[in-house]
Amino acid sequence: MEINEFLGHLAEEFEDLGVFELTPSTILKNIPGWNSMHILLLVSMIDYRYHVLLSGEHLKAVVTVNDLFELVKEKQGEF
Amino acid sequence: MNSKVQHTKIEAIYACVPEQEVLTTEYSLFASEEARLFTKNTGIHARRVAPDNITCSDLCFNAAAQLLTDIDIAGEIDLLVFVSQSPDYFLPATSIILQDRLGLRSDCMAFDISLGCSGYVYGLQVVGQFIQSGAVRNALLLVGDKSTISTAYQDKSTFPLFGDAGTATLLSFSADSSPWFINSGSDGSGKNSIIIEGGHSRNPCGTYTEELLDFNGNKHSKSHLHLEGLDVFNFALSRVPYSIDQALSEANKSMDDVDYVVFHQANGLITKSLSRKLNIPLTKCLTSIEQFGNTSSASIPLTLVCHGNDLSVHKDVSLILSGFGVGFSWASMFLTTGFPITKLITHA
Repeated sequence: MEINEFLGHLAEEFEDLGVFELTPSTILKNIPGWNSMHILLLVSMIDYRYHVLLSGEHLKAVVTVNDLFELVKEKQGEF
Repeated sequence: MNSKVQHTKIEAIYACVPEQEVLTTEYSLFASEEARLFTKNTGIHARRVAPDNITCSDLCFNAAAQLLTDIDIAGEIDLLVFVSQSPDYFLPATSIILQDRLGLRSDCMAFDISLGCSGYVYGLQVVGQFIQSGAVRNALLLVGDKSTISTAYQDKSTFPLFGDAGTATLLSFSADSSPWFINSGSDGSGKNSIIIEGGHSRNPCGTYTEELLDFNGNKHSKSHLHLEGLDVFNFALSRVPYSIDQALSEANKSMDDVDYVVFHQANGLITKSLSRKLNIPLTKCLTSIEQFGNTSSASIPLTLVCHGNDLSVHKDVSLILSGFGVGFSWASMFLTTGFPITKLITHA
């Protein structure tokens, strides 16, 4: 699992980003129009692509895209 | 648990929705871009909202009365079951009031089942058990909710999501109908994820204020519906695929044998996520959420009614019906059936 591939999958979900560029250091809450629906989009994508189902508890400590990437990697390792 | 119901046929499904249509774009707390994203991800363009003087039981009554007029079977109904979480009163049970309003015999058994989005499949299962036992020949299953009575305008997570609807399903004994295969389950540890805390025995009226409380910017009181979207999403994605696999396995079938899937119409994103997890083409997933929103327990029968004209051309269709939600509670069912008579009516 590579960060660039992960960024690509994220960008597909947020197809309304316009010129905003997602990077590993992007703070999720700073994504334009960020709201609770985006969290569901993320969780759905991660479940489908990486077979990891994240709960609200898991996401509490996630701030940046890289935090999310590392969390998914960690959860994948648990299986 | 897995169960099987035999000798039971769904003869007809009628649905009744309120006349008033409310568009997502009319919700004043949504900026236009927010409304567009909401519709894109939930699928909801519009929903129907019942006025103050119309209850869920009124919608179910209208659906049932029209059905009984068209099929002329009122005198032969042995059982009436009302499934809803928006009954008329604390007591008596709404089903008994409906028995009288519909002019059914007084030796007709009537009772309520308090379930939400899983309720239609549970109702089919319970009624089917009575019919296959031989105790009941014909039954009415009335299922619906007036969810808009319990959503707070200041809560974006619930107010623009829910619509009102009532349905009536006529079930009858049929010696040669194909068996139904059902998987159902419960997980009360999810009770706080979809809950109305106030107004009943745990928190009686008068023991709390109607103050609006803030939940990450969404505001509602204890008398309003509280919904934790991510919890529900996780519940659906973790429980529903297994439940459907179980129902198919009991039937010795695979998803290739299924013509159409009707998920509870929670929101478009859950339907999309479940379909890709189960590898079901979205074209196989019937929906009604676009025009009616999340209609809680009514969403599965309302969706079947919405597609009735198209599906009635088939001699037999194989269906998965899967309800899931408040509780948590879930039930999935595989059946092959001649498509029932359907009708959609509007409550003026």
